[in-house]
Amino acid sequence: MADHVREQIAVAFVNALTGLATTGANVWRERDTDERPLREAELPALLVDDDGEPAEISTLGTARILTRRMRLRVTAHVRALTGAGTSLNQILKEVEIAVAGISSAAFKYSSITDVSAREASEGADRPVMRQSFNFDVLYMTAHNAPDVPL
Amino acid sequence: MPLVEDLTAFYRTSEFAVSATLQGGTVVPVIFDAAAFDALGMTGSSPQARAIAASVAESAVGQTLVVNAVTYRIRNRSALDDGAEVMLQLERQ
Repeated sequence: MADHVREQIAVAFVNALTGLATTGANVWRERDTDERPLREAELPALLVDDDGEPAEISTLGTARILTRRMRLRVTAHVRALTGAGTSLNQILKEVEIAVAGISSAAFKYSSITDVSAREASEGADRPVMRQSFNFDVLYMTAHNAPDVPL
Repeated sequence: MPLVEDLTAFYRTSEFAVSATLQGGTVVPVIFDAAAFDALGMTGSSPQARAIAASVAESAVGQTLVVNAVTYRIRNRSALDDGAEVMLQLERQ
């Protein structure tokens, strides 16, 4: 049995975001940076997090179909003496292009829905900044076959 | 007769202090710390140097300070207690 479609989508995102020009291999899924903060050698970095999923019934009957919108949050982390904001915009550009290029049968489309406010801190030895980019990913499954994208 | 403090006893480089070089070349003794400091999920440190206020003028803020062969920029200078000493918040260059 295949993975749940949302797992297939998350894997597709991580694969697409790994190796970008700015963040390179510094991509993690569901990393708790409070307990395991990103180290200097791991920056700049992207974190990919599952941010929930509303679903609704699209057809009735025993084989009813669900329309589902998986939310994925991609959070960029940057440490730089200067130009952190510019770097975040560069990362956003690379992320959007990479996500647009995902070729997957798992979902119908993905779309960026929100770029969150930036968080900045100059309390450490070098200024740091982070920002989240939020994506909606539309996919459909039968209610009893969540591992098979329709 | 007013009490005249001699803070140099607390800033002997043979004890806890180290020599630091201000931009322009002036060498001053400081007590340096760089405790771990994580911000926004990223590891880092919080370098700071305690110094005799008279040895580091307010105008030094924004200038460089070299400590243990590492160059920092003085981000902030805040008075401690009665103002005879200051704490310098540093940014690694």
